[in-house]
Amino acid sequence: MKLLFWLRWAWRDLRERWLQVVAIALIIALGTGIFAGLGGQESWRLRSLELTYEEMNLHDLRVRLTTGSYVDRDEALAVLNGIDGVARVDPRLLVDTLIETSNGDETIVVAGRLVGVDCEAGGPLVDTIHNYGGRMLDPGDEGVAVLETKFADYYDVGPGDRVTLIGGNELEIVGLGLSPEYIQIVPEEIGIAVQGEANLAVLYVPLATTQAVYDRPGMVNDLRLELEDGADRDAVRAEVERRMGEALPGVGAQVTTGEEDPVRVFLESDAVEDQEMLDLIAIFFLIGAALAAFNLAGRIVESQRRQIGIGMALGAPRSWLAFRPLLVGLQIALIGTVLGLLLGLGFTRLFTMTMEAFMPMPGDPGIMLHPQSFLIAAMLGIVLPLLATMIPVWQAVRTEPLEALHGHLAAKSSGLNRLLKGVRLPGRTLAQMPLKNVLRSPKRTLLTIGGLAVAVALLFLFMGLLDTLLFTLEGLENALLYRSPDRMVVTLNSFYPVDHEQVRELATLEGRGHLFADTEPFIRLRGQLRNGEEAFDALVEFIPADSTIWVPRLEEGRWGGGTEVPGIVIAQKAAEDLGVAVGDTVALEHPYREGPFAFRTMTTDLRVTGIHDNPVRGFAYIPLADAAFTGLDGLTNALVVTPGGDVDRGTIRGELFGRQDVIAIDAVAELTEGFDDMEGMMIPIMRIMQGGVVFIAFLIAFNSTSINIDDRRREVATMFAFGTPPGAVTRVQVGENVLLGLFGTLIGGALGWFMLNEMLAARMEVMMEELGLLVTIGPLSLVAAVLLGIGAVALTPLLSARKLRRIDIPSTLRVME
Amino acid sequence: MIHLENVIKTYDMGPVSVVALAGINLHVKAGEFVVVLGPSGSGKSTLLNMISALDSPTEGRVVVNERDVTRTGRRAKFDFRRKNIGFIFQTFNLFPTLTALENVQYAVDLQNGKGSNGKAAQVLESVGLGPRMHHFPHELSGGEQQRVAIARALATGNPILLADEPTGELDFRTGVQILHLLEEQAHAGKTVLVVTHNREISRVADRVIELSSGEIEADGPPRGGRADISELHW
Repeated sequence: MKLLFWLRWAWRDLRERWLQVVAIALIIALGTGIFAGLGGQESWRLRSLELTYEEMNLHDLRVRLTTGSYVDRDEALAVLNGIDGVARVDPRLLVDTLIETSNGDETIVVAGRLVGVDCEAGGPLVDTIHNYGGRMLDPGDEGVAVLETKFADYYDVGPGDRVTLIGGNELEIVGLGLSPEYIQIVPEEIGIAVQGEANLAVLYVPLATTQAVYDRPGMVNDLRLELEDGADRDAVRAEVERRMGEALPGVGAQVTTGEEDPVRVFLESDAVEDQEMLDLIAIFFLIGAALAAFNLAGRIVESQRRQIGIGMALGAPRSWLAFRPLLVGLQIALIGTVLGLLLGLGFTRLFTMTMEAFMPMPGDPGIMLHPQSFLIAAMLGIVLPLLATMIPVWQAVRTEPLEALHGHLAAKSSGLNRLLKGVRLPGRTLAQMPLKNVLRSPKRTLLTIGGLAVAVALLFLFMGLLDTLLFTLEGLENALLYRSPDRMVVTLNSFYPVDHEQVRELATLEGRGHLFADTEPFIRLRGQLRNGEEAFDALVEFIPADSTIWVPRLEEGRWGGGTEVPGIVIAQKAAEDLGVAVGDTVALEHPYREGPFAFRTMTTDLRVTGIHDNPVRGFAYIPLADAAFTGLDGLTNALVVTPGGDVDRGTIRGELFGRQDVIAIDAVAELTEGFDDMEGMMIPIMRIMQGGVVFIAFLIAFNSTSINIDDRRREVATMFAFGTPPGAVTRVQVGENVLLGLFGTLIGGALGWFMLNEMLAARMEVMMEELGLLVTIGPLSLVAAVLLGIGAVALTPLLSARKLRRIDIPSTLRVME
Repeated sequence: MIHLENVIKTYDMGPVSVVALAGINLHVKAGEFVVVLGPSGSGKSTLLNMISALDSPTEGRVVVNERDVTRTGRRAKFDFRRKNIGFIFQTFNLFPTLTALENVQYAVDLQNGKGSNGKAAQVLESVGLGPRMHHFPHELSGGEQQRVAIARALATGNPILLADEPTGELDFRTGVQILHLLEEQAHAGKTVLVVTHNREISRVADRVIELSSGEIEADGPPRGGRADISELHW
């Protein structure tokens, strides 16, 4: 027979069940679309980064002096320019400070970073600044700045506005820009990536202006190196380290490569790890779609078995008999896959737009399709439904003609109901039917439950992910704010003796009455905790052991005193990652003060005396009395303060702003507020994903119900003939779906919990290694997942109620052979 | 018990109207055993549909058990069938997931009956299926399945039994057993209406209504007089 004939026939088959076909195609489309669309995000992001770094001429090497150290610019250039293979050295003076600006509506006082750049020769020429508006710095510029574009967008500040620095100096903003190290704000202190655009104002300022404002004439603390083509980078790096050590003894310097740039490392690993996570999610979607397609396409074919029997009776060869249902499967697969690929294009576009909005980068590769993902998605989209149709077709063409002809009319097997023989079920026969219907065809039931279970597992997964994050962040909030939640940290511009006049004066400042209710000096240092090969950055605070304001809350061990070596309190996650417990020893790499403006790095062994309750592994605490090993005993670089009676944060900032000795004023609560912003961004994304999953569960249930009605038309007609009201029949179907939803939710819940713990949480622990995740599903989410899992499935028969009412009872009852 | 007054039923098949019933007037008394006889397309199933309120006449009036079902609403029709009609089908239409006993209990439950287990078992005993009552339909022979279907119809306790080709799927011996059961019900006071194209079956009826092209061609006792079931051949 001609292909056109077959196509026409198969097309009529599709039209007859168009609703089910559309539902299956949508399920396949969602699975393949997500797989195809999200499969290429890693390539896109890495390509975008590559283009960005090319355009911005990312440094080959970077020399970064230890915090608090400065060197003479000309001296440093002389040392570095003389090294073979160095093509260019671009100096920087980085100064952390407070800034005040206004957008007309509000006055903004935030932590700022001045990046003093050498613009005399049209620079900076290494780690250049990409122009996002206005103009860049020109030779001879003074008193002007280019503001980091994301901060500018956030607060609606731009060219023409002014920024006031501590000491009253003003800078005019002439343009908006972005350099490679601030594409993403990675707070170096604790190593957690937060949405930093609101919390840090980066200002690119002429080097001379920065030196003048902060009284560091001729000094720099950061150098970016571009190497000659073909230079041996490792050899140059070793030479830089050697020469810096020789020429500038007592000044600690860290030399890193462009590949080691923390922002680059973060963004690249983020892209790779996000892809792994997205792949995992896409595969779950695809598994759900595959099970659903397998179940539903197979059932459509099963319903054609009688027609296959007619073909057998007419002597049609098996290949003919199989061709038509296979063609139906193929058409569904093609419709689903084409829809899926279109959806994949949409997802790709959506993803690209989101990335561009969230993280604008100069390197824009445009919309990049990932052919490999699309190809795999297309193959899976076609192969899975075809496989789903092949199995029942294979079975159907192998049955005896009479069995195929009459099999559907005879009362079919009771399935697992034989197990219930002798079991007295509660309720009347109508009430017992849902359970009996669930048991009548175990294979079908299992496939339906399997599809629902995967959908519910995904639902659990997304809810669990969100809850885990929220619960972990709540843990962070509780740990930081359990006592003195309104406390603030005033960071000083240098180390001062604790009893220094300036410190005492600061502590007793008057605003409206006493500015502070209480103040305590402490020390805050960046360091690295180590045990063997394991190491990570830490923010170490040296706090008075008997602090009346705040001390860490311990889960285990004790706070301070009683050990021969200095004691340290670390996070549970830190202890796990380092493989230590209370009583063990860890190494802390930290700055050691050699003298004013000169620090070197050294390592000290410390005894773990306790485990605090903060899930962030980078927080570590040492009693202030033990600070001698840093050379900082008797000194302080920060004050923890609690506001006086009616004093608020703004008043404190206003009073302290302009003091040369204060470079930052942070409310501890603001750290957790930053996380609130992150939650605000993540929750809608998660909700969209959850919506998609509920939709899939709903489609699976709808299809299952719809096909059930087709399969059981005669039973329904018989019920109607005996006067069973349509509402009662719908209730039976709702009851059956409640059971399917219940089983699906139970299995899906268990699967979701397993996946959450073993797969995604484990993945997230790698991605967000600084956080000790507290894997959980909150009771509200649990109830919501159960209600959605069961409710969405249970209510689908209501959509088929009209179809049920339109059954032609007489003709359905009198099917004649 | 059953009263049809000038019942006309036409079906619109595109541009053509097909007349299924062309002005039927009929009265069936309680306790009568009536066979509606006719070839395929004669309108006998349509007649059954009118009586059971599965379908409505285009014209005319249908009154069953003193209830006018001609123009009643859908809900009322369901209620009417639940309280008045017991159905027996050619292809049995048993619920496959229910055992024989449960299939019969279903009918009892529909009547809000108490102690349905006992009543259902009793009815199954009465059709000779006591030992097979815990079997599922697929474990029963065709005749046994039809007996379950009869038991289900009887268990409703409704006064009218409508049987649509009840022996069509059965062999002679089994068919005879089924007819015997139906005859017993008529003798017990139920109104039994059997639709068939098999003239031999009509010989056991009290009254035979012959339909042709939607009209009653003959209405009266079987031709040649009423026969005993043991005299049947087909």
